[in-house]
Amino acid sequence: MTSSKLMTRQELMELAALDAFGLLDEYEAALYTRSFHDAPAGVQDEIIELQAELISDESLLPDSQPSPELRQRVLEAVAKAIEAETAHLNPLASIGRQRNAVGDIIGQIPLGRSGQFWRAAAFVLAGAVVVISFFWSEATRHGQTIAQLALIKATSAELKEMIGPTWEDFVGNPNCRWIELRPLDSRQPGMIAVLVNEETNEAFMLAMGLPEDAKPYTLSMQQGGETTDLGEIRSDGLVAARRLDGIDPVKLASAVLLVTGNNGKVLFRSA
Amino acid sequence: MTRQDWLLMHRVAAGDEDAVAELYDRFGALVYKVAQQLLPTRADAEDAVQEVFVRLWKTADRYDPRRAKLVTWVMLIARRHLIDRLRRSAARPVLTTMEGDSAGTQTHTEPERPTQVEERNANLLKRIAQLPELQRTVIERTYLHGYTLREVSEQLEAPLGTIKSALSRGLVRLREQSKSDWAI
Repeated sequence: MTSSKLMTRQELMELAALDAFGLLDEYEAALYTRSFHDAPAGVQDEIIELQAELISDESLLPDSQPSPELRQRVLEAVAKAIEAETAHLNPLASIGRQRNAVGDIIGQIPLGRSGQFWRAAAFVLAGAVVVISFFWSEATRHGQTIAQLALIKATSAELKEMIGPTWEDFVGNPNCRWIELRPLDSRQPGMIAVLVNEETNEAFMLAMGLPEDAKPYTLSMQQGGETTDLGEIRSDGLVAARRLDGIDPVKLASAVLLVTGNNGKVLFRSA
Repeated sequence: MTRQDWLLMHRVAAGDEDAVAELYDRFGALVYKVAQQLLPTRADAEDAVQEVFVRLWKTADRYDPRRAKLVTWVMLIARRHLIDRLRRSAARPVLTTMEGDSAGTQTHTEPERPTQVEERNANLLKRIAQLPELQRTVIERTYLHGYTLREVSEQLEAPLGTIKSALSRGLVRLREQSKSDWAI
């Protein structure tokens, strides 16, 4: 197994146990994962079942039970870890608190890992409570990533009005991919993500904390030297979202996405 | 369960205490058993379980239900953490080749306290004992002592491919034994 050629079905099945127990070395584990994703769905399902069976086989494990107190200790340990991460970011979150901020509702959401942040934010949105704006301040010029959370009340009804009633199903679907667009200028406030589901051919654009502007922002796609406009979005400074119709999600996922402001300047770009 | 599991892990990633509690209620006992299997004392195992759940919170957003069931993911994270812990504690025994020579390359000098771990794993060891010698040795060293396949290959002076297939076959065979035990 020294070449980078994808593994056959037989190899995948043979190494399924080692993969499940984390016994493959880094290179092989990566090759295994690539080969797994390349395998037919039936083989993937077979491997998933086999691995779950093997790893949860309690007859291979000691017959002992944790003390009832352990549950509380575990919950406290996790809460403490979350608190430590929040505390680490608190000085950042307290700079320049924005109008209408309600502060304490979403203090539990850990920052620092933006993918996680977006998902957490989306979860909260889907769950109906809060909208978040998240931006970089002047201090980034000094080499620090400064995040500010401003918390603004919103309701799922408002969000559904913006995007449509399928939002919750869409965001809760494991096939939903997140494409994050990053600001070209670290002082640019706001965050933008495009969410794509290649199975249902649906796509949404979601923006938070984008400055209010009388004119809309434009999302466009750059591929093979060609630029195609995908849609416009208006921001009231808080949250903005829209469905992207008639998009090829596969193309979208492989293209560079850009958001331009009303003066035609590119403000955000995907990786 | 896939979608619910995915949502559960995103709630965990977002620091939702109820979600962490749900995760513990579903997998806490299983994680504890693996910790008991690998670590010398109950206190070590309980400490490790706490650490595993903190690690699960930190990695929750990486869970991909298309790649594995949640139980597989949780146990993988747990085993990796426990093996890291074993390595850090340097409490693994100096192991030998199957002919009895010292493997020579081990840096772990403190002998493991065998009794508690072996007592707890008596059933497993009984079943492992029925396997061919190479499969038995490889399973004990990787599955119970957390050695990598490469380390075992060096200890036993056997090709890596041989070790790999011995382990794979041994684990599947143990699983088959366990299935037939249940069937009886």
